[in-house]
Amino acid sequence: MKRISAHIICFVFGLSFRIILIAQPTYNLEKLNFCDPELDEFSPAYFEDGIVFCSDRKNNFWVTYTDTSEDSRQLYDLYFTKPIKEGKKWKSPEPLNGLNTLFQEGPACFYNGNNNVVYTRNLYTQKKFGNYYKSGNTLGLFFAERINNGWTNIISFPYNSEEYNIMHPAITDDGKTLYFSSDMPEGFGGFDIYVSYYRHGKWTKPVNLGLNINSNKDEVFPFIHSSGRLFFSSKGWNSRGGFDIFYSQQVQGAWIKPQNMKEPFSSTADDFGLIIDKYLQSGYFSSSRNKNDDIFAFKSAITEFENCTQQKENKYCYVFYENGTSEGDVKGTMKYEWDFGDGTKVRAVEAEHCYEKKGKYIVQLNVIDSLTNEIQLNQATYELEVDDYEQPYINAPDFGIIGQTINFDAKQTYLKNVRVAKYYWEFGDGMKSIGETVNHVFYNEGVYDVKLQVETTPGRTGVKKYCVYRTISISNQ
Amino acid sequence: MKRIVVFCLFLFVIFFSAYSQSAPAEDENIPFLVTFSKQAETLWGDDDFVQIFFVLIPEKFNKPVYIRIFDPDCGGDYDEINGVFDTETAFSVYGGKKCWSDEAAQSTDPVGNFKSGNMLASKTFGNNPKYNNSWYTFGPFNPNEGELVNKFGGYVLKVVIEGISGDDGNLYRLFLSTSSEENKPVEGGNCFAYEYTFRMWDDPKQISHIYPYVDDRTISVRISNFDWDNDGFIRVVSVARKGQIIEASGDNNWVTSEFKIMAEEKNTSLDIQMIKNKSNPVKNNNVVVNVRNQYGELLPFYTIPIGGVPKYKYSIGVKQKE
Repeated sequence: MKRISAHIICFVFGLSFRIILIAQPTYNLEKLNFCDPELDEFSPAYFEDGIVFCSDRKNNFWVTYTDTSEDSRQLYDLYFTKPIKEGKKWKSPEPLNGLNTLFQEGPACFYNGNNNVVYTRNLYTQKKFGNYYKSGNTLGLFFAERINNGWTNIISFPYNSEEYNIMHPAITDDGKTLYFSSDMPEGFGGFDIYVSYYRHGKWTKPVNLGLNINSNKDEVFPFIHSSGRLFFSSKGWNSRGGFDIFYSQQVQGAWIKPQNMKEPFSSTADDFGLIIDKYLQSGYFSSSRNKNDDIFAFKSAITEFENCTQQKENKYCYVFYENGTSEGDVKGTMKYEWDFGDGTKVRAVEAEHCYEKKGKYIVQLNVIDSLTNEIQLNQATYELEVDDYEQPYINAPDFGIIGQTINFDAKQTYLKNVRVAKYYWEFGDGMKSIGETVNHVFYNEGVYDVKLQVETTPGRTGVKKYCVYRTISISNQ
Repeated sequence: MKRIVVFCLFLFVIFFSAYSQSAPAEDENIPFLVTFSKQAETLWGDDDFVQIFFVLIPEKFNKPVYIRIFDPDCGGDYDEINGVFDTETAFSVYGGKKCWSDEAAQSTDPVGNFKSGNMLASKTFGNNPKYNNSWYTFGPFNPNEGELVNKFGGYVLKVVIEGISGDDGNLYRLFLSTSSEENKPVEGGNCFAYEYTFRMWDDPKQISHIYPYVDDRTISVRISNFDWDNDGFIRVVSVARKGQIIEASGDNNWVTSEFKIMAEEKNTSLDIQMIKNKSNPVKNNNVVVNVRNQYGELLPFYTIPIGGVPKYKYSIGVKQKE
């Protein structure tokens, strides 16, 4: 995990992991084409129409500072690039002028409409600290302001210290809540994630997020989503190997147990530095799964949910009527007796009946002439096949509790003459999933329209899609 | 269009040949036709003391035909007496040109030249036990003595029954037959009238029917009935109508009900059902019915309904309850 080691004074890390990328259908991954197989690119941050990321590529022709690892790698600087050709290719990365020094910069996090940044940097950037491993030149957070397209007014975070590192900032867009990783004393082991609030013109004393977030191993690279969901990387929480990517959310003021993002995000290599868009549909993260650190773009593989209708409950209830009743027909002279074919009969002009189970029933209509008292038996018959509604079917409770896992299954999906190939879920909170049976946790109170869209195997008319939704209420108890 | 014509003719043949041609016919379940004589009161159930019936013989039928009258006299077992039987009723058969096509012949009222055409035979009956509960036969007639009417595809003879004198009601039945001695149907023959004056059953369980034919020009119909004495219900059934109650008249008055014809009812017959009150049914109830279209033209009542007895075909609709 080179970012950590690089940022932890020694910058010594050469260990890399090879892993075969396992395609997982929920999200499609693509390594960004500017990533150099011999260099590191990691920890992207949204900035304008592109990303700012960290890299050890050489950006100073005259002066080269290296770390103390055996291969003496370049120190990390911040670079900007943006996609071209509909995101298939990216412009050649350019150093982010105004923030980079001869020492270590990054990762960064932009806020206030990209007019402010908080970023990681060595505390001291004078040449005399060229021996960066010198005690005291730890990593800290710095704020900068963008004026006339240049970065200025660089201010040190008041809790930076020569005794420990503070790094990996994640700040809300209003600039008032700052998450970061630190190995400051009295943590729970390794690096922990802390939060500080900007109140009355000052940053509050950092608070450890506690044992629900921080394990006895390293928790680093936080990212705070606009929904309040906190993404971060950890070697704890039963990670698959190296750093895995987790997320958590506050429920009634307490962080819930971290959820592993699993594949394709988490692998046996180091996976970290995830950022994701407002709708939780696309974003970027870094991974060493290809030896060096690379940045991967991800995008939801789930197609748009189309023409979703409200799920109907299978009640096997029907309304029976005589087709030809016209206005001219006098009411009351002809009475109907409905024989529903399950041993029950009802006398009514229009009859409602609920069957207990699916099956085929012969419905008979007997007509009683109230003027003559004549009973005309079996004037019409109808072979009724009582069946489930033809629809995808979401089997789930109507109510749930914040933070509790809810099981959703589509096993009662009933569609005639088609074979379902894929099940897609959308939970109404921005999260999606794939599979006939899925689990989901809601972190906020509210009413959610959970959607299930199924896709059939390709037929002569192509792939067909069917979509339903049902409403689930989530409360705090 | 040809197919429709062929289909209609086929129905004519099928249904006309399946039954003997009588008035009233079996499907009508009417006990007797009735004609009162001129001195009777209309409140006894006959509005004009004349009944006109037509018999239809297919053009290709070339054998002699007979018109047979059951109980043509006025006295004895069936007829309605007022004081003493003193009534004479004339039964006359007309053929030749205009016997049908004269406008007066197709009217509800016996005015003008309603006896149009050539009188082929006539006989007046009084209180004569010889014809009580017995038969009198007119004919033989050569079918082509009738008026050839292309739209019917045959020859038409007209029977005019007229109360000449007295105030009693003559109850009788007509038959078109190929035999003078018995009732043998003319293949493809039929009987029809534009106004029907008949006796209702006394038994309240009995339901009588008459079947006006609705052609494709008909948009709406006006059904008029006379002197029903409020004796129950009149209900119209068709292939598309499961039972529409229309207004029934009281004593010695006409009432008319009007309704629109549905598309499915065109080129079919309506079934006008007469359902008596279950309690205190009127006895010896004589009534008159006619049906007009939107132009005021009378629709014919065929004693053997064209297209068969119309029956509403029920069908079950089902919808899933949300």
